[in-house]
Amino acid sequence: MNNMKMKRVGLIALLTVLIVSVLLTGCGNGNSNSNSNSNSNSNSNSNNDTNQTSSAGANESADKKSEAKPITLTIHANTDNLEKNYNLTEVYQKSHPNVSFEFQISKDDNAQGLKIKAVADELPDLMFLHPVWIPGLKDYLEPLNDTAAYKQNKFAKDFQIDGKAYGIPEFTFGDYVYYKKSIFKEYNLSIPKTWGEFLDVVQTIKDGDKYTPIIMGAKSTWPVYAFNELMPLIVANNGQLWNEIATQDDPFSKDKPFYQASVKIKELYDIKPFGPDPLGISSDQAKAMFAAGEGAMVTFGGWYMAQAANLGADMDDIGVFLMPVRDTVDEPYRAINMVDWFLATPNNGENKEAALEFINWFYTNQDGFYQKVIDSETQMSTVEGVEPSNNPFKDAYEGITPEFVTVGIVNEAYTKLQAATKFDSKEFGVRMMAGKDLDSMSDELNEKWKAARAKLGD
Amino acid sequence: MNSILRQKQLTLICFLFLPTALMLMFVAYPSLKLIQQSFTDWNGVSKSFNYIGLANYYEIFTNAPEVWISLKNNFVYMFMHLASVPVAIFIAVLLSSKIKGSQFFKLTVFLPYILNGVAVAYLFSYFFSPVGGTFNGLLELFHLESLIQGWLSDERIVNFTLAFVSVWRFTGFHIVLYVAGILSIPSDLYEAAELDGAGFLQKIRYITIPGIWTVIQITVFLHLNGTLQTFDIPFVMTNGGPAGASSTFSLYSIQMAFQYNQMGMASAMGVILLIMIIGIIFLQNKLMDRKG
Amino acid sequence: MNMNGENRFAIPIRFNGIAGMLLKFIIYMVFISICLIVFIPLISVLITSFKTFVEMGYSSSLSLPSTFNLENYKTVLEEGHILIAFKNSLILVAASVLINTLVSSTAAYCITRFDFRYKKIVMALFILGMMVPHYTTEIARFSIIRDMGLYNTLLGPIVLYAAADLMQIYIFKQFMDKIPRSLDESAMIDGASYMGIFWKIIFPLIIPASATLAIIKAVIVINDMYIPYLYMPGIKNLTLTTMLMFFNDAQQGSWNVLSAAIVIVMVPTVIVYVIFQKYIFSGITAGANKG
Repeated sequence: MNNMKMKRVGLIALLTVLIVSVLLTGCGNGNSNSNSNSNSNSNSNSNNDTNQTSSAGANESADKKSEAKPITLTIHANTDNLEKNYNLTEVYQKSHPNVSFEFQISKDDNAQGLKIKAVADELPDLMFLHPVWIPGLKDYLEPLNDTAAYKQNKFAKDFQIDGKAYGIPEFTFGDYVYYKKSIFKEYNLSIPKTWGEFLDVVQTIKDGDKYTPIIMGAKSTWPVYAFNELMPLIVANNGQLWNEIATQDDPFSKDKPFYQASVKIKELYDIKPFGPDPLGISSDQAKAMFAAGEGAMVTFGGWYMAQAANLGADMDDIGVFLMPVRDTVDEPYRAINMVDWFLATPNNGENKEAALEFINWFYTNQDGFYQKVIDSETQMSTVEGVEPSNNPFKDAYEGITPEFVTVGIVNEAYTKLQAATKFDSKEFGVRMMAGKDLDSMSDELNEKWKAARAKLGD
Repeated sequence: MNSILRQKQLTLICFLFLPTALMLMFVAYPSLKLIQQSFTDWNGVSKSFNYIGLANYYEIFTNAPEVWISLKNNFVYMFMHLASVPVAIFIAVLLSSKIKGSQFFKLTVFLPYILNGVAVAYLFSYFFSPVGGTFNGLLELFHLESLIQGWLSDERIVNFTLAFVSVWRFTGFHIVLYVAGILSIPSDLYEAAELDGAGFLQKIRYITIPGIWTVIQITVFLHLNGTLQTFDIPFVMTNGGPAGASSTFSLYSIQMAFQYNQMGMASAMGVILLIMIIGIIFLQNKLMDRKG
Repeated sequence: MNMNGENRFAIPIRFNGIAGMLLKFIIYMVFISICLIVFIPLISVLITSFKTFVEMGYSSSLSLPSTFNLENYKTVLEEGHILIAFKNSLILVAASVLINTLVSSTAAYCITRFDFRYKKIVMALFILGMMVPHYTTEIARFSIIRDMGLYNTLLGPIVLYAAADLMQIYIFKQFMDKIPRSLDESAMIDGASYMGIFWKIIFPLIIPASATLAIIKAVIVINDMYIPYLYMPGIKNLTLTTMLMFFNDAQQGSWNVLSAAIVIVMVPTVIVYVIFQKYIFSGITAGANKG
């Protein structure tokens, strides 16, 4: 009896241990950032060794390229077009045969997924970040000031936090009003040069009752940025307006640029130029609708030109102009300049060497890859020495000497205040569109802002 | 006798080890973490934080109208779900009669429940879309254009639209449960009532409903608990928009955590939600536990 | 008693005469409206999935597509990683439901049949599990999953899904309470151990309840969005739900292609449902009968 019981106990203990160990090893996938290739476990060990023995060992690992063990770099981006349209893996493997890429795609506007991963130490090897995300994540990112990519970049130095550049920007682009040439011709409209003229154009098209003047995907909230986020910067002629607002107690008062811009925006919204239900249309729908021939105008960054073409738009009928915010032709014509998609890597990533290698390769235009990307994406280059082969936006600048306002990076003071007051210029815009009263919203914001500033003690 | 005891202990340990371990790791520990976080000002990402006592709770109760707006939206779901209970019971009664074809209709009614939730959410996003959406198309067909609204964009209506989707998904499940319950009531009870001169409605009230009371209790609890935690449908369909009008308590706490970098506050909301759920359980027990 | 128990225990509604006909008519009206409510959204998506992008622009949503155009389906199959998503969802469901059934039935057995020192604590844990709000505690859970090395693997969600919840324990308990202890005792006299009693006697008798709960769990797992969204961001680990979200993000607002994706995701479940409906319903019926 005792023997049998012993055996049974033994069996059960074995079973338990087995189950627990299977759970703990997760079917052999381990702690690495790389995906479920069977090679990855041995990889992470050897990469760790390399990292520990020589931080300046980039040269050494480069020499071992042909013998190096396979690495998979995870990339976080809002699209996998680098792979899909430009065959990134194929091109990169010509010089780095052991590296492949796995894309983690997310259109998450708040970097929610990234924040969770940051805390859990699971950030992807490479991340394309909006500049507003960088302050929140900087504790986890590697400063890139010493890289070749940084040195060759036109804009990276303007976006440092405390002297550290946490990401290298991919594109710079302007913000435009895309319009249908045929519709403008139908109503005999010329390109507006002042805000008043712009409103007239919109009103004329609306009165014609045939086309929606401006297609707006307000359901996704962010498309109102062209008005509510950028116009205050233009009115203030200050790309760092938000940081300035962080130092003021009542930045939303009537004499301040945010309110002044909002008044103009209200004039536009009151015309109701966005069709019957802009809050029910998503940004993707808006992009598709304009490309399919609906509506007379749409407001997006330079990146939309390539997308419209991909959506099958009649590109001959599409023109661009800069949104005229000024009141009279005597004032300077200010144009927005945005810098976006900062490539970053975590400061404790297991594949940091390989990731930095990639960042340098990408941003020094190796294999002409970067050139190809900006040409096909109709973007402007951030890399010194690389210029786009053509410029589909030159019409917008014809006959104008624009005064550029470059949208800067927000600092910690502003981020803290923003979190405490839950202020978001785009949500503000959506509320305006939904009919909320501008004056009462501004007063309320001022109060919240003042209280938050007092509490945060600055 | 010792070996029996030993055996009992062994069985208990083996069988309960896994579930208890899972519960400890994935329920107990995160709950404790949640409570701990609610007393901090952690922003969710940085490596440091401060303990700030009850400040988060104070803020929620005095200075955070959006929290209560989102909770009000939960109540819209709760209301529509609870209103569906008598309708579901009514349909279940019909479906359990001897009428021909009830089997097919039972199939139909249960179908929405098994369909993939995200697919259903996207489906209804299209259905209620202001541009080329089917629902507006139908209204136009019957010359009811005047009734066309911003189903997903008008803040007065959006929650009802979303709650409708939620009810569409889950009612079939409850109906089938009720049918099963109804069919377990022995027919001699009805016959006896018949002899006493009971009419149809009286049979329902005094025999059917008490007979399925346990099932009703379970489904009401599912409704209450589920609607307090509604997340999927508004997350996929409107992401709480426009400007928070369709946000729910869970959705808003996630936004609080990641959009506004206030993990401490979001955790406090989570704790409050936990307390509300406990409260609901108590209330429901008090109100409904007439019979076993 | 027949399989569905239908004729024996149905509520007796009389359908005689004019009143009866009227009643039948009303009942059928109700049924038909239900059918309309259920099927119209589904059919509209089916119709849209066959339209081209251009057609979407000028035709009304109710009009039939001009041709049986399979372009959209091709796009979904090529770019949507459908097969991977199906495989993963299948693995998730099978593994989770299996483990979960074992775990919850054995746990219920212990709670029903035994009295032991820590019983109250264990019960409290399960009650807690049901009350804790899922989404906000996900952040804390995340670090545990990551520490166990389960991030971005299929095993992570399986571990989370396999946990038993109070509802299951309660339902199993209802069933087990109805099994007389005398059966246990006679089995013990015959030399069976406690575990043997469970496997040989109890488990076979609660199979209908297990089946019901397994079905419910399967539906929950297949439909879950948040856990795969958080824990398995890679393309290799897409499930049906994340595949749809990923596909929707990657597409540029074309309802027709998205409709095709929706149809593809829904069709297999519908097929399984239609084929196995007899078992599904008898399981639920038997389950709720004894409950």
